[in-house]
Amino acid sequence: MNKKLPFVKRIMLKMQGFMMKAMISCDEASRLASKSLDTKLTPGEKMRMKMHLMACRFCRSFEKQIHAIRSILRSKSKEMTEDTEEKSLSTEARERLENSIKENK
Amino acid sequence: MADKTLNQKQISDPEKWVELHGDYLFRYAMMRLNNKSLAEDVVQETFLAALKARKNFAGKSSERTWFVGILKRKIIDHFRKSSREDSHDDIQKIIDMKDDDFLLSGARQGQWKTGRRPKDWMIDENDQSEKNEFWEFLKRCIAELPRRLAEVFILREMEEIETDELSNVLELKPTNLRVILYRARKQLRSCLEDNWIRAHEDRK
Repeated sequence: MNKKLPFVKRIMLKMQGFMMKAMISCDEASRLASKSLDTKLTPGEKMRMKMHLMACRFCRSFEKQIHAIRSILRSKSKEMTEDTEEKSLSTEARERLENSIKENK
Repeated sequence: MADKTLNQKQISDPEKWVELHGDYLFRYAMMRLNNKSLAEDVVQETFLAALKARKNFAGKSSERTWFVGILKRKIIDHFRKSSREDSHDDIQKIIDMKDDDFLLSGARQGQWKTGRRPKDWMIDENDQSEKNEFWEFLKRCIAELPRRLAEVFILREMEEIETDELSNVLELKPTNLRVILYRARKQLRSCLEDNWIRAHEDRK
């Protein structure tokens, strides 16, 4: 048993060092969450972010929020553009456009 | 040769363009520019560019898609021009802006400050009325962003331009672009939490 301790301790220290390196702050985690919406994270970044999110519900909320903003923005803006009840050209603008097309045809 | 021309879909008569696509293109532009006369201008530019390019319409996509493609370039051009007019100081100011969401020192350095911790919004995206309400607040919050942040955010999130292209178009370093998008998202989420969540909770 005694002989094993230094070994176990060595492993523990190694793991601790690894964990410390892997632990990032909310500041960094939220930046990574935002970055992940734009580009693929490196495996290291991905792991650090995941570990942080597991431990931190605020950053989990942050990540969900920025995803919700993107998804609602994208779906609503498409929906509104399709919606013929929505804003349309004024009569004056319509005339102006039609004239400029006629003149340049 | 003759077969080829026969197979091609012909573009409709330009005098019908306003009737067929005007409102749609206008709504598309309004959504991104949030300014009526600007939106009318880019739609006009789009039709004029389409007149010149109509021979190139190959009928591979629908006419509508073809017009939207041109409009998209016009909108990007507009943002590119407006970003050129800005002094580099403006961008630098945004990038250098102090971040006051996180603790700057102590054992909990880098953690969210107490009043700034993101909450669980528990938003149900399948609930149309909830989504509509969220959208109203989102529009207001976007309007409150500093202009540069809003423009970059719109191009990335609504226009769905990838960041490589965006940093080329706006002549921004990729790292600076990343900071700008991060700032915009953080400011929006905080504006929404202050306003939408409050209004939402009041109603419950």
